[in-house]
Amino acid sequence: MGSPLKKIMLCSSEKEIFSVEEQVMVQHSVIINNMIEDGSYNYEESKIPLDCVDSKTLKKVIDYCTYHTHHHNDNQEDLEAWDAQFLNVDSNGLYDLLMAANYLEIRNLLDLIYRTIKNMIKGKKIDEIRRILNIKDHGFTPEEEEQNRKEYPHFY
Amino acid sequence: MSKRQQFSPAAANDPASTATADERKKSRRTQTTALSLDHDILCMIFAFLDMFELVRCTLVCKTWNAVIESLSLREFHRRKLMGSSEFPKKPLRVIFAEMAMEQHRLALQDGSFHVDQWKGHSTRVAQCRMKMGTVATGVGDKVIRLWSVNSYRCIEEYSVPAMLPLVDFDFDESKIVGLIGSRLCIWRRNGKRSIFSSPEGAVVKGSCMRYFDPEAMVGYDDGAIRVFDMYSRSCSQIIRMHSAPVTCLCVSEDQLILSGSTSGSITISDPYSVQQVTTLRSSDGRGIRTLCLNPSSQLLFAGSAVGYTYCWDLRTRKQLWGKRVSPNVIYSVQHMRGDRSTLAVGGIDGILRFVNQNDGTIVSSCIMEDKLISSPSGSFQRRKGRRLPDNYLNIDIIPTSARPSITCLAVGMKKVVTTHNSSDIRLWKFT
Repeated sequence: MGSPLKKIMLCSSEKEIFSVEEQVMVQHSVIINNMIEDGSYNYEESKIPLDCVDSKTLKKVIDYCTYHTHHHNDNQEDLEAWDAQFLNVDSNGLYDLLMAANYLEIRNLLDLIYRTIKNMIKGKKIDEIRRILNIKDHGFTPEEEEQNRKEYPHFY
Repeated sequence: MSKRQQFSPAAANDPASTATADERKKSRRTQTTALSLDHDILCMIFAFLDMFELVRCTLVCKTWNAVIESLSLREFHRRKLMGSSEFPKKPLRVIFAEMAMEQHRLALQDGSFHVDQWKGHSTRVAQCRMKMGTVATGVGDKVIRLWSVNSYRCIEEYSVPAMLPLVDFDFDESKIVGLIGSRLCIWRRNGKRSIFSSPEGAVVKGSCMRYFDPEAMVGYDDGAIRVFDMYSRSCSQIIRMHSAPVTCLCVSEDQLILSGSTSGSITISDPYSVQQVTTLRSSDGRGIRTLCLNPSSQLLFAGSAVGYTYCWDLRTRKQLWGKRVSPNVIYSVQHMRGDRSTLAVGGIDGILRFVNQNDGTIVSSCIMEDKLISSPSGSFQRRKGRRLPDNYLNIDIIPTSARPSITCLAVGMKKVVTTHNSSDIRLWKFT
């Protein structure tokens, strides 16, 4: 573990460099924690390339980790309100965050996103789910789709 | 954190957990969509959903279907929900649907239950319908109200034109169709109301109505049923079905019209057959008060004015059983959509009975206890329910305040909504 003020460099898919307090990422990302612990990160030269995370998403991920590091003593309600505001993004933004959180293994963010997606699906009609999650090509043949709609009209 | 560990495949398959930073370079990704989420991520999302949601999700898209049907998730849910080692090779949604029906049957038959009661109308309400988490109530005053099954809050309200009494109604996602006097009225759920002009020559009163898009069928006191096209708003057919007033009707998915009369006859009208009207049951003076068709088993159920419930198989047109389940008039028989096991029966004696659809035996008789257990929000009252012992004959010693007449009932998953021709609506919840 490094000192709290140490910085690490993260590099987005656009090659943009983000400098973050080490402690912030170590606390949240299992992957980064492992890299720091096993010494594979060199503070003078290394930047951690995150080729599958774009700048916009990486910035949000860093925002999340930073906020939760500095506000972990806040009351639950305030944190939940902040999280809800944080995840107020379109479905594509949400998928990007999900992929990033999965890649970096940020477990509380993953959990939050899973729950958010669950709530987007829960109790919704199929047509609504498709619209909300931006599923344009469902992949069923027209015959299959027609059959399903006939068999389960109340699902649509 | 520890809870999450059980889903370790997601981490194990992640290249990041084993590879070094330099090895992790990937080709530039395309935009992420719901369809490009990988199998393990989807499994994680689905692990948060209950079985009903999962069944629905199998129909959202092919990718989801494949994931949900996939072995890992099946295994997960088999362990979580079933605890059995045998997993039959049926689509997941079929298995879950069967499980849900079985749970529903057991809950109605043996589960504990409570009854929530709330004031739904200013004077009285006699009819109710229930669909997809929404209860619709009306007949008795000047409004039709739609309620949320979960909060008992009124979510929509539709006014009935003055001077014309509401007789019958039904609803779906987009509209409410009502019979007012002898006319049809359609309320669009976005607000527009349209009343049909009186059918020609119909000075007699309408008594019941059902619709099956695009047609609505209305039964009249003169024994005829008129079929209306709801879009052209014209009467397309008049079918003489009875010599006595029509009391109830239902429509099958292939547009057969079944109706009962005050004289006890039940007839079937098949628009595609040469002999347009056939008799299922001839008059015997004991009126038929209610009909209910189960499309999934093709069984027709009827409740009579003297407490009998009958069942016919529509394919063979033979009566399967007829049993006296109540000492008095039966007003309503219903079952949950798709359920082939249990029929709920309600009538003048105010006892909610569950009957086996296949042989007519009473599986349980329920009443509401007088004592309040709580009124959590103040907007409704919660009371305990009680099951009567088998072959309980002393109904008369139960005060009628504990068993007001059930004028109508509707059945949903592990619940029944009833109206009693008072201002109250009751929801019976079984667990």
